[in-house]
Amino acid sequence: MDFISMITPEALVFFGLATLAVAGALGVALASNILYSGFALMATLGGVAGLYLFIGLDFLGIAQLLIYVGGILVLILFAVLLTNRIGAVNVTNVSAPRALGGAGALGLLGLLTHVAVKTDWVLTTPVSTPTTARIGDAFLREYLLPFEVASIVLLMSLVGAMVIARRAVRDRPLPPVQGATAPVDGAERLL
Amino acid sequence: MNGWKDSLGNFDPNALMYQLPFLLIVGFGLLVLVLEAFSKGSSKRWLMWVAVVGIAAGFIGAYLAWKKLGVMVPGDAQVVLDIARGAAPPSTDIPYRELFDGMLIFDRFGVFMNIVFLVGALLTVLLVADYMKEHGFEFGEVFALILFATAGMMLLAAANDLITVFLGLETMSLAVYVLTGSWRRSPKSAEAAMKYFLMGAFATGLLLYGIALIYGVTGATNLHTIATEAPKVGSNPLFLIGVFLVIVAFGFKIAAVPFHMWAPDAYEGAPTPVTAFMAAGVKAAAFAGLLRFFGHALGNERLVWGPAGWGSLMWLLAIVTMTLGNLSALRQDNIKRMLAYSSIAHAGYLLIGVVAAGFGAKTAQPAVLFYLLAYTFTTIGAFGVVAWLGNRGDERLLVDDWAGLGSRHPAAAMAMTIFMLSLAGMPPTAGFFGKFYIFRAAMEAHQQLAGQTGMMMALVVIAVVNSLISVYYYLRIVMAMYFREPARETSPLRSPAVALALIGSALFVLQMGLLPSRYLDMATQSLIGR
Repeated sequence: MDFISMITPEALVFFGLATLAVAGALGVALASNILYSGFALMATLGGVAGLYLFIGLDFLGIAQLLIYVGGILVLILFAVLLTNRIGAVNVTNVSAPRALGGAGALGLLGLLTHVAVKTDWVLTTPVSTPTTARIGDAFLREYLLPFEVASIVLLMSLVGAMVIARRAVRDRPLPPVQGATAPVDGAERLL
Repeated sequence: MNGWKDSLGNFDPNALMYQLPFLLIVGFGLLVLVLEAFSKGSSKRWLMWVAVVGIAAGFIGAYLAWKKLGVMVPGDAQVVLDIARGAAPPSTDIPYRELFDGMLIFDRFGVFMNIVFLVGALLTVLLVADYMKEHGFEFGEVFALILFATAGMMLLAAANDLITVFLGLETMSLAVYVLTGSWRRSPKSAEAAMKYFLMGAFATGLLLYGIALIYGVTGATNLHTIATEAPKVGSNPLFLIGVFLVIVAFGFKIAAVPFHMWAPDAYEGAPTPVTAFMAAGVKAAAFAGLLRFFGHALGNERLVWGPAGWGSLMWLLAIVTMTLGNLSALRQDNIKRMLAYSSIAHAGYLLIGVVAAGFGAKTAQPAVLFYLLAYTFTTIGAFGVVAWLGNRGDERLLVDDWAGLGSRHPAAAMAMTIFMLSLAGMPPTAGFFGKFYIFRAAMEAHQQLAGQTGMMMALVVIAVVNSLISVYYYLRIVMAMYFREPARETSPLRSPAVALALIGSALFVLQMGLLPSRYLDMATQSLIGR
């Protein structure tokens, strides 16, 4: 098969979207400013949404756009913009040298690409009908349990976030005990 | 259409009986949340009793499920239904029941694990209430979070599908991340929560990647389908990478070396009862998942051994985990860090059991179950004594702080001695039989290999050497308690609930050590169905 015949419109769209996603991911990882990282994430998430739509998963693609690009990304950008001095944090942990990290990443990339190309994937024929009905059906049939348990997970996350983030109103000051050291001074500032 | 009963399909409402412990625990978790929200008054200590009642109800539910699974024999409705649907007749006579389109499987293995989780939750709830009150960070949601985490563990132990495995793991982990960071006054608690959360999130990502790859090769997330597909695709590199990633993800959860970096910091920073819950409950749940997925579903000799088998990987993991865990524990002066490293080492011993189960050693599954029950009592007991000793935002964590405890508080010192002996694996405690059964299972696996490889034997030898090393650092605390002069005044927690938890676990550790057969019988009946 010659190279020219492989350039089909589908291939162009696919590789265009894949490049968008990967370039965005590289941007997230390599940008020096965390705000730029946040914006680069938009390209990644948008590219992935495009890939979903490309293989005919309408609901998943739109959900990805709405939830990730429209919701989570905006939240991240808000958090970044509203947090003071987020870029000026002194990193005290030792990180691996760039060469080592790069070599590891490239090695993993090579391995995964090799394996992905070699494998006989279990393929299903793409159906170009709306998927919402099927997804809804699956949620209330074979995936009923995960669907229900996810609500527990979400409820618990909300409660947990509240526990972590609320003002610690019930923290009463501790009277010092005879002979014991004062309770972790300075921690109060964190609250 | 014959009314609503048809729309239920294969679903049988009576089957929810099997799920009773899970439903009760979730229900009581919600109840605690509602009561917390609508209750007046600043002390939320009374919610502890609501949680205790919930856990007691969970025990009753587990007992009923255990009974119900006991009377089921091949020929039972569900098995017949499976055969009608084209399933092969069951190869074993282990009663089991699949629910929710194979998302969950109920067998006595799951029920036994439920009991282990309930024990862990009960002891933690008893410990945590007065601990929080003493250190000034009382809040009622903690009991709900503990119950939800327990529900997640139960889901993981009953999971028959990688999706349920994931959900169970997440339900459990999210709750425990929050519990770890719940001591808002302590910067160490925040650091611990951050480290645990980041590492845990990373592990979750790896787990999902692994699940995706396994799904890509086998076209299934159902453990049973994967088990039938696996021998065909066993040497497919994609499958191997998927399995590798799942092992790494579970390695994070059980804190196996080299995925243990977070553990000492997280264990040290978390409020001590939460540390106990992490060390016992979370680890036990992850091992339940490991046994189901690796020890049972992928327990095919061709998949286990060889340079690419998961068994070889876990074999290596077990050795490194035991050895590094023990050697690092030797050098710790902080008791919580010492117990953290010791808990890493124990994950290594338990991995031996998983590898042996993979070889089809019949005694391996009961051995791991027995060990987990023994370990839950022992670890929560040991951390409980640590929690008991501190007061007023000042935890007494250095070995020097424990000097002379034997003369001041003989009962607590006695309990701690029992827990230390059990962790070291000395008779007459539960820990001794836990280790003994694990080693016996490994020897059975060794015999089944019939001399093809001496690697199981090597594992046992290394494990025995490691147990001997561990005696040093466990007895160091005992020595400090009995043979050194007290350095500082102590005013430990005055709490009947904590005392009850400590006495209870000490008694169970002794009973499991003196009369292990009852518990072993129970564990032997708790095999994974299907």
